[in-house]
Amino acid sequence: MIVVKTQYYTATSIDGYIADSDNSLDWLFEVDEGTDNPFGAFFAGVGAFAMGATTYEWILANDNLLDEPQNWHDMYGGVPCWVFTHRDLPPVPDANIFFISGDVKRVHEAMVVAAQGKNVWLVGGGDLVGEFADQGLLDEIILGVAPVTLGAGAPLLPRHLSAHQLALTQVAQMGQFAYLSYAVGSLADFGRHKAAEVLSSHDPSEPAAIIR
Amino acid sequence: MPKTSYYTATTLDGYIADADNSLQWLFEADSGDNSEFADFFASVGAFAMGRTTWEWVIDHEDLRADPGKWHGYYGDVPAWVFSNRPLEPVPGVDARFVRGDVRPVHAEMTAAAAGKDIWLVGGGELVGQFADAGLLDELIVGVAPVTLGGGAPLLPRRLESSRLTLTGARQVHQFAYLTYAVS
Repeated sequence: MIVVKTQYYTATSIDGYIADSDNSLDWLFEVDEGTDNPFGAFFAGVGAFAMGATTYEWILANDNLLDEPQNWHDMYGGVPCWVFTHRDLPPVPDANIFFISGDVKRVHEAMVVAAQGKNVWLVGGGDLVGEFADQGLLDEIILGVAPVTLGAGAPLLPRHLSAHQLALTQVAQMGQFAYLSYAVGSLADFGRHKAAEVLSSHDPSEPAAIIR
Repeated sequence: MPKTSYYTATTLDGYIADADNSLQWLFEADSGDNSEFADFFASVGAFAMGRTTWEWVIDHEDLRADPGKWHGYYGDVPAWVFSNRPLEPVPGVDARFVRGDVRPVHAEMTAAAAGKDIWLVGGGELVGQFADAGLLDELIVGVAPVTLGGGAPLLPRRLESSRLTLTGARQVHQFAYLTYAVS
């Protein structure tokens, strides 16, 4: 069985912040990644991704995308991106980006169709991912835990998900990052071992049945 | 060289207790036989906690009715409890009530531990004071498969990667144990 997953893949501090109080990630970029950052392999399985307005604006500025739109293509190719926003945001020239607002459920349906059997990546922030979780649309959390505490900042996931809803499926160390993977919701209910088996079996090159 | 370690369970979003100061969320997670803690505590010669943690342990375990339980958990290892207001001792429990600067207390604990390690139980603010004074050597977090979205913070300080080195990451049942050296 192959499962199309909606995944929250993000870096975080040990104390659960994805950005500091100044909305900076400088603390993250100082960390030794080791020899193989797993993001490339992860993104190869992604067919659609979504982010909030703050995250989009951060990437725009950090990667100088309005002046150097090629940077977007180098990072994300033609994979379609949905940006949730209530404001008018400048588009990256020629990038495959949709600006939307409102119910995540309807948008998620469109993303799954566009992803064509590949996974859906939720970039962040925490509250947007929380809205997907509220709707039962979050299947997996993959955290790259940086060796940092921040004490304050943008929260990883401002929701209560109990041990009945989350199942730890993998722990790995790469460089100074600890990678923790969790099955969420119905996948956690499968049972711990089954969840690990299902989550590790998805080969994005094969056609997938959409379980929803 | 004896170490001073903050060993604690936490949620993956960095809370050690929920907004109601409960640990119910923690007991729902599969920790196996909890031998991790037994192995850790075997090397501990003194331990410290804040008032909230103390009151939680005393109330949760109903130690005033059954003080013998304390000895069952912690043997003869002495405890120090930081509190700005007077606390009522529990008969048969070796806890010393202290306040103020953590440095002289740490020196006293080091002497009492007689070569064994020092465990900081929590909460986060007390451990932060040890970190501020350069007295925290190790951080061991057992990450439970839970998010709370709010509660008592793990460690309300900014410690960047120049001060923290990941020395271990492994899975024990549903917990991820992450160990960091602090400099």
